[in-house]
Amino acid sequence: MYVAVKGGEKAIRSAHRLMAEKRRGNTEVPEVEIEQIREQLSLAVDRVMAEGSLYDRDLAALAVKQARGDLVEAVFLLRAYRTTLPRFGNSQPMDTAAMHVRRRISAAYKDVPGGQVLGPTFDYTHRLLDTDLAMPTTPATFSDNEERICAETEHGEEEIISVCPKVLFFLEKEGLLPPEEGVDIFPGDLTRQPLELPADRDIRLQNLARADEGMLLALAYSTQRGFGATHPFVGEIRMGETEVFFVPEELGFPVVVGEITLTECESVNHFVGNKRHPASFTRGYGLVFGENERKAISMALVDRALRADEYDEETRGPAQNVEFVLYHSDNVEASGFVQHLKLPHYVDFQAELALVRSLRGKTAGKESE
Amino acid sequence: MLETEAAKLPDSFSYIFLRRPEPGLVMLEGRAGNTGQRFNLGEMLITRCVVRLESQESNIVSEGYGFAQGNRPRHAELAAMFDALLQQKNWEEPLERSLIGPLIAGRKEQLRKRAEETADTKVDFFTMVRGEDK
Repeated sequence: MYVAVKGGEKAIRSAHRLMAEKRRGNTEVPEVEIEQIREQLSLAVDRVMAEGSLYDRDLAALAVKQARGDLVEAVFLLRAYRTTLPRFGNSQPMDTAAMHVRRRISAAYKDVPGGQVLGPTFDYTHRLLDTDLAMPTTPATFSDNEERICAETEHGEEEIISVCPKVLFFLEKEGLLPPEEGVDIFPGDLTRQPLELPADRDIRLQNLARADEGMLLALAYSTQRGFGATHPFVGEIRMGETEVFFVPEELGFPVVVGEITLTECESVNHFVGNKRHPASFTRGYGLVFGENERKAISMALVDRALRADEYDEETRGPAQNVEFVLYHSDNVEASGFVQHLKLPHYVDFQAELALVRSLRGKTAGKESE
Repeated sequence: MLETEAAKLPDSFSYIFLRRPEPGLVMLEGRAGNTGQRFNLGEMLITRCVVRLESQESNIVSEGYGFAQGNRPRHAELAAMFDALLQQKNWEEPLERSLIGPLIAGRKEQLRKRAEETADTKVDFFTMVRGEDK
């Protein structure tokens, strides 16, 4: 039982003032601006939007600044802020096939229609600290890049298309992969109703999309190491911009209200089949706000692992346990409950102390008898 | 762009807010595998605004709706105002020419530029022939 405490207002005020000073750091160094965080720490902003479950680059950048770069704290700030806003409604389901892709790769097929484009990626970098970045660069450094100029001449006048077909569609066409079909029902919403088990895939996917990235990564890794193996291939990863269509009640027709960056991962897994059903692959799905491939892949792996029941698979790993995954994946909840331990528990502890003392007293008494 | 075009307009019309610019959320939906079960991915911040506009020349009244991504009250207001104007016969054609046309062209150019940058990173992987494959 937790018993509330009073007092300490002055100390708390001073602590908050001190925190604000620490956030500012050395005042001889210029203060970081929201625009700088939004533009130059964009992957931190993306992570905060995904786990905060609110797409707004400016607010997420502000949260990162306010939280002194503590991303889980920033996620909390966004979650708290969203509760102050009205909801206008649901968008139409976003169509990732119509995405203007900036990155699209397949680890299953070498030659995919539309081609493989690397886009902005850390892959194939040497992970050596770049000391040049220690000095500010001028934009001219990029435009003078020789390679860029070569590539431009190569494309010539040929039209460049940024919308390309989904890789898994080709497997579906051959009948080797069941297409994703779902009844067209209004999805459940974790922000409106508490999590209940058994949870359908709509709830599971919402939970995973806002789940802590570290938690998902660890769970995905655990399936690869044998705790519920699903033999995954990355069928396709695509990242780019997708338009958001919303039907305002008063208008009754869809209006584009914005454009957001998404990362999507579709995995091709472990095949199933028996005498009645010819062998076919299975699939997992990951969709995340912003540029975040690590999380999209992890989500696809965990989504597939959570479908163990559907395929009558033996559940041998935590990643296959719906209750374990869904109840422990939210870092706002987890952080709140773990960190509440540091708040005063004086009465609680006194009770335990008295109990242990009395037990010892009894033992000591018995011994002396 | 909206602000510049708005500044060029004559003052032969006026509008009132039916709904002041207000920020709010839209829950964004996805689909498993893009074709399967719908699910809620997360919310997005937008600003909406509704105006009623009256033209002094033609006495026509029209309602305009504006939506802007993020918390952008002025953007939503201007979008609503232009939407109302575009529904008025005498405004439709000139605005299509001075505003909508250039906006669409700008969007196309933005997409083309983005696609071009991306196309530079197109890759052709080839598999190495291993000794035992001969």
